[in-house]
Amino acid sequence: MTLEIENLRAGYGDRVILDGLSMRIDTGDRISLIGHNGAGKSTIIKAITGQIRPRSGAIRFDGQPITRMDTADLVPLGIVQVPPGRRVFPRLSVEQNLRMGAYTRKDRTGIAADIAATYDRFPVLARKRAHAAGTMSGGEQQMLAIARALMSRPRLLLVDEPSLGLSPLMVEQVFEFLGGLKDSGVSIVLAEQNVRMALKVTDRAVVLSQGAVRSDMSAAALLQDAEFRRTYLGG
Amino acid sequence: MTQTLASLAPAPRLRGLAVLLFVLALAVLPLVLPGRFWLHIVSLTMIYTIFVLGQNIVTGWAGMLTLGQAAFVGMGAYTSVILTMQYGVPWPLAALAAGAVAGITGALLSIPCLRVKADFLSLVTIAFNQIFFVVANNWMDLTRGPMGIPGVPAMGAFGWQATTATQQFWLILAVVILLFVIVGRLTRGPIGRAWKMIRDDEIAAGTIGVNVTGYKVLAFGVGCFLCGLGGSIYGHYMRFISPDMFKLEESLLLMQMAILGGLASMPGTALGVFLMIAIPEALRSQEPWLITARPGIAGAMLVLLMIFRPNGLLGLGETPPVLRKLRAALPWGGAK
Repeated sequence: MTLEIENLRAGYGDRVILDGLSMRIDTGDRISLIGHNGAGKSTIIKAITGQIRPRSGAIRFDGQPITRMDTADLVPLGIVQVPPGRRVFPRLSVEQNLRMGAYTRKDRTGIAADIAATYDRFPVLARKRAHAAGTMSGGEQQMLAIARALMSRPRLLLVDEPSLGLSPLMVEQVFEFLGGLKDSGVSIVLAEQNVRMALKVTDRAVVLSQGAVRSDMSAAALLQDAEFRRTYLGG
Repeated sequence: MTQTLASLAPAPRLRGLAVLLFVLALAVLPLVLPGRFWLHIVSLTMIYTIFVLGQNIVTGWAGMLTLGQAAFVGMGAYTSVILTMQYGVPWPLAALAAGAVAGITGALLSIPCLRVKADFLSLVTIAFNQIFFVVANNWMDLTRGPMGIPGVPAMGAFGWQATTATQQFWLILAVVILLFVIVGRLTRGPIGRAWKMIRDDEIAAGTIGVNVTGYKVLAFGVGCFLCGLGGSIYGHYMRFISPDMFKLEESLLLMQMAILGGLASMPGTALGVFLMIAIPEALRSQEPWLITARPGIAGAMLVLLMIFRPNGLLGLGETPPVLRKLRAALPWGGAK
């Protein structure tokens, strides 16, 4: 899997957020997008998933241009987004939510096996499999949203602000959950305000500034960078 | 395939039996009812059930507030009446054409609408209803305008015509049963699942691969098809159509019935029509004010519902507390 973003310009109305951004994501990459509010973390995810139309530039997935494709059409290709704000189907049970995640798949046995595997890996979901998703805690709902996205067997998972509106304890749980995906082989792009947490569960960090990539290095190397520590971690 | 949590309650077999008994009771009504008047009320109620089913597909299952369904009923009625009277098309074909014209118009209308926010969708459908009324009222050559079209032939096919009230009743009942079976299968299948996901969370539905726009347009098409088909039956049953049968007030009534009875519920659809059509019509001679006051009564009921049961009496697969208690008390229906 390769996702290439080339010279992307995108924004909202008159406002340009991404101004000539280029980056590349390969199989197994786990990337944190770092930047202050409005730097374009979520905008990158929205541009990849076709929720905003870029003004110029190209996005290619395995060489195929996907710049003007719809969110839904990207799912069968293997690009799935976890939108901010949980967004589980509140009236459906945990299990039904997982099943809906496999909406684009037809292999019944594979789906059943994946649900079982999800329960093995994340026991909290197994315990609540028959509960209506709306009755679970915010953290559990966010975990379910991520697990549901994985049910389509994505090759690239785009997670937008998973900590949004969650208490610190729940943020902890959600990131533990995200960290648990390390051995699954899925590539992850994480747009997250909570930099400390984000860098714990990713290997690579892309710092955005002025709508372009300012630095692109390993998470460990970035954590050693004095200026970065001063700006984002407060010392 | 999957059962929603809330609908675990009715044991499916019991439910099927109840539906069967209800249909049988309906079918023998013409043999026991004391006169044409009562038969007419039940027939009219069944026809309205088709309209409200169409409204409920768009509003209940797919979650879009449309306030112009009467225009599609009217479009179907005029299509069918003009085809049979001026072109000699047999009624079954004309009825299907009526559904198709309304359905395709609805789908086409929805495409630009879906680009705007949900609130604007209601405004656009209201505007469409008004435009339909003005056109039907003024296109004299085609519709005879406010004079309406009298002498509409009765429903029928292959030389047979449903001329007696009893024949019409059975024909309407057969069509309604058929439509309920089809809509039941549709809404429980993959298309219905997609609609419900879009209704519950459009963004989430999109991210798991549901073609949101496509399924919304489909909901509009199917809902308007039903209204158009129902409109054909309505016109050929009343034997007369005129533009003021399809005014905006009528659309509001359809919307109120769908919400009152229960969004995304087929029994709820029937219940809403029963409360708002059958009861006021039955009391028309003794209590004529009921028809006049109907919009007000419905409005008050909707306000109460918003407080106590926001999804309608039987809406979204939730069992009303009263029924739940009743069922728990039954010796055979104890399952939750």
